[in-house]
Amino acid sequence: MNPKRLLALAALAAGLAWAGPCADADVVLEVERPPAVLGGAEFQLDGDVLTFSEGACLEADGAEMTAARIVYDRAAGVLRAEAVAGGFAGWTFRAPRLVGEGEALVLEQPVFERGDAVVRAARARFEGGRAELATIEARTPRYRFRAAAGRLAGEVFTAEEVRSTPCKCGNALELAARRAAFRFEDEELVLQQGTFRLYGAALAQPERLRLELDQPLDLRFPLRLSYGAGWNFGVEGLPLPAPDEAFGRWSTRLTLLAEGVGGAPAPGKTEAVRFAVEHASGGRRLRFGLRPARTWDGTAWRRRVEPDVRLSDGPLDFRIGWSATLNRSVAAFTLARAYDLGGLRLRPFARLAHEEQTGLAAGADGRLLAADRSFGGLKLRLELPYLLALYPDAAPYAWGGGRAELRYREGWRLWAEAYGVRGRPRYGYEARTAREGAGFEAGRTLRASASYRRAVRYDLAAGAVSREERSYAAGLNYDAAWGTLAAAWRREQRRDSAGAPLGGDERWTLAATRAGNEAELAWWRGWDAAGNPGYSELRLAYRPAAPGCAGGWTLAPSLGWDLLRGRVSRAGLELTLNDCCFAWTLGYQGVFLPQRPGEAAGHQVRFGVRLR
Amino acid sequence: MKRAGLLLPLLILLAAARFAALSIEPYGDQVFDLATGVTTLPQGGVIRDNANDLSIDAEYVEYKEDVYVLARKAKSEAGKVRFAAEQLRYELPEDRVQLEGGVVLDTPQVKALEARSAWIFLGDGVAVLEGGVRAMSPELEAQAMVSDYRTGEALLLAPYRYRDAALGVTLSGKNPEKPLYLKFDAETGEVRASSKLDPEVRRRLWAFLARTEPKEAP
Repeated sequence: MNPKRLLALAALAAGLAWAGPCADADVVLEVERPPAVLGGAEFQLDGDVLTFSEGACLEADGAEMTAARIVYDRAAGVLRAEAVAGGFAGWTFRAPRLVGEGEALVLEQPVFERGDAVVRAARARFEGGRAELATIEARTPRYRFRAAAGRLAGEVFTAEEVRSTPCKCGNALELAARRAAFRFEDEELVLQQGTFRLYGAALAQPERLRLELDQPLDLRFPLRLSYGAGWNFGVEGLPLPAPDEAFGRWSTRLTLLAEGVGGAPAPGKTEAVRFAVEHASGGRRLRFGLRPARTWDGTAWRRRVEPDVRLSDGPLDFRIGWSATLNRSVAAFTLARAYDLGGLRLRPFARLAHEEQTGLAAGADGRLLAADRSFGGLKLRLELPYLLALYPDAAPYAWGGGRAELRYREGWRLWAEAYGVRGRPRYGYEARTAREGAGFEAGRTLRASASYRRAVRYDLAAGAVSREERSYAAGLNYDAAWGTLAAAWRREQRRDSAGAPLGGDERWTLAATRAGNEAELAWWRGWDAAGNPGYSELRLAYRPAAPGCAGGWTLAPSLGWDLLRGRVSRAGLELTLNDCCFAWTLGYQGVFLPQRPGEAAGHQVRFGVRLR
Repeated sequence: MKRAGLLLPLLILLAAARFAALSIEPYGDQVFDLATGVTTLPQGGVIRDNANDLSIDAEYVEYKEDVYVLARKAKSEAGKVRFAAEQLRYELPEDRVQLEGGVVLDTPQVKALEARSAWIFLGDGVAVLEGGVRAMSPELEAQAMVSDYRTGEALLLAPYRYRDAALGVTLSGKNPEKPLYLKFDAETGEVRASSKLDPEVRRRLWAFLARTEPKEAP
């Protein structure tokens, strides 16, 4: 090719340079009505019909798309594209069909996506650099929306006649609004002239309401109602919304709960009222709570007021609480801050505490990452956690050790760890357990695991080692197409500080899941210090899969059989009523023959509701 | 002077001469060079080749019987095509016309087709235009164009641009491997266009591009 020809070619090519998906198209077509640029590897004009195929592309009104085929019928003045996918204003979209109508391009049944947000519409019309959407259904990880109409322009999506719901299906809990603006840069939705409806009844009509689109929605049901050695009722974590606060992200919550009210007095029975106001915003937390309580000691009520106060802001933390073991209030002021220095994590702390002891403590904890290496699929990680605490009037306390883990892809994993202590901890804050252990996991579809652990428990109040626990566990998991099957065994043996046996427990379980249905058969047994059987119980539990969006009810029964006494030891039944949005639960649990130490005979009725 | 004296009667003799293929109507002198066999019409004239229904009207002409006709500032007609150029060279044995500089070509399908150079294969009814090819009706631009003006078929070589005012569309392509095929319907005036080339069309029309390499001057 001669230089003149090359120059002419370059000049022409520069004039044809497109920036969008049609940039690389072999043939490019500029259409005047609707104004658009079409392109593709193959092009055909037959009579009035223009066809682009093999990587067809289209650019118009700020939208760029590719399609399996683009057909433009001049006589009819209609542009059609099939299997369209593209981008507009930071969104990606796909649609089975695109139709050009007059000056506008219309997507039929498009799906727009941006991050986790998905917007479906019956139609989307591109015109003048905007996209007008009709009959919209949108979904973010936390909400579903429907709107009569909407408009996409840049970072903002505005919609009219919006109905949103956090329900998985249905709209028993609904936020309706005259207008809504999604700001995807800030990941928030602002609803204007809203109505908050529960089962169709308007509960509130906020003028302006903010939703955070991707933040987990904290919709804990605040009402509590249960019975077990007296009634428990009230509200726990009831949100106290502040103006301009995002829905489900309330920073202030109230708890007012009556506990153990009514029923016959029995030794140890406690009646109490728990009151707390909690405020959390940013990294700051403030809680003020009190729990006036009385406990029947067999002859009279013993009264007390348990404080529950916490203030934490960055490195500062102040608490006043109640210790059930010490039977008095405890308080601590802590200053701690974590530093991440690459392989070394360091968290110095200083405390003034009135807990098991009273006094000052200072020190640091953290871990050193000694090795984190890969050799092909093989990965080795070695960590050295540590803690050092100094006391003005006692010997220092140190805890440290190492954990090594060797892993080969997803195939198998081996680990071993050992931690030792020197000196005695004075407060629970810095107390760590001296322990050692090792284990492995291997296999994929059929996964086997085994582990051994030994831990030395320290009693802070007594200031001495209380016991040593050794536990052994083994498991086999089978993950099949029809569901999963798991068999597990675990044995724990306890000894006192002198090494004398204190008894132990053993548990065998066999669990199966299939399409959301769960069943478990377990054998629990325990023995005392002398090795005599303490209890032996067979437990059977079944939980059916939650029904689909149409709703319905499920019953989850459970039953325990005392093998030593040959009688039913416990029974439970949980009735769950699922509507489209909520799961209402009424559960009963009765213990007829207490098995493990600390377990008491009694009945418990529990009522709850949660968002599905 | 002696030579001129010999030429004069010859000029008169040849004034209305008819060659096997060409008929010559000079506007002025006609000079025949016995040594080379080349005849020159310094004031131009009209040359007709009845075999190819070709006529050349130029301000300057030189020709060699059965070999070539060279014309400057020439306007020409061959059947249904008309063309003009700064310089025209008609190669008789090859049955082709080479046009250089300011080429303007009218085919039944495309009027006022301009290019820097062109070849017209009279026997095949094909014109090949190269360099800044452009036309006003229909509006097009191309790196090169192969036009079979008898069948109404054409190839536009990329980079090209073709605008159909009736359709309200502008087509362009920049892949040199992918020419645009156009077929003009003589009766309806409708245009068919495609980037998919029929193998037969490709073989037939594409081949003319290879035949445009300049022949060594005689």
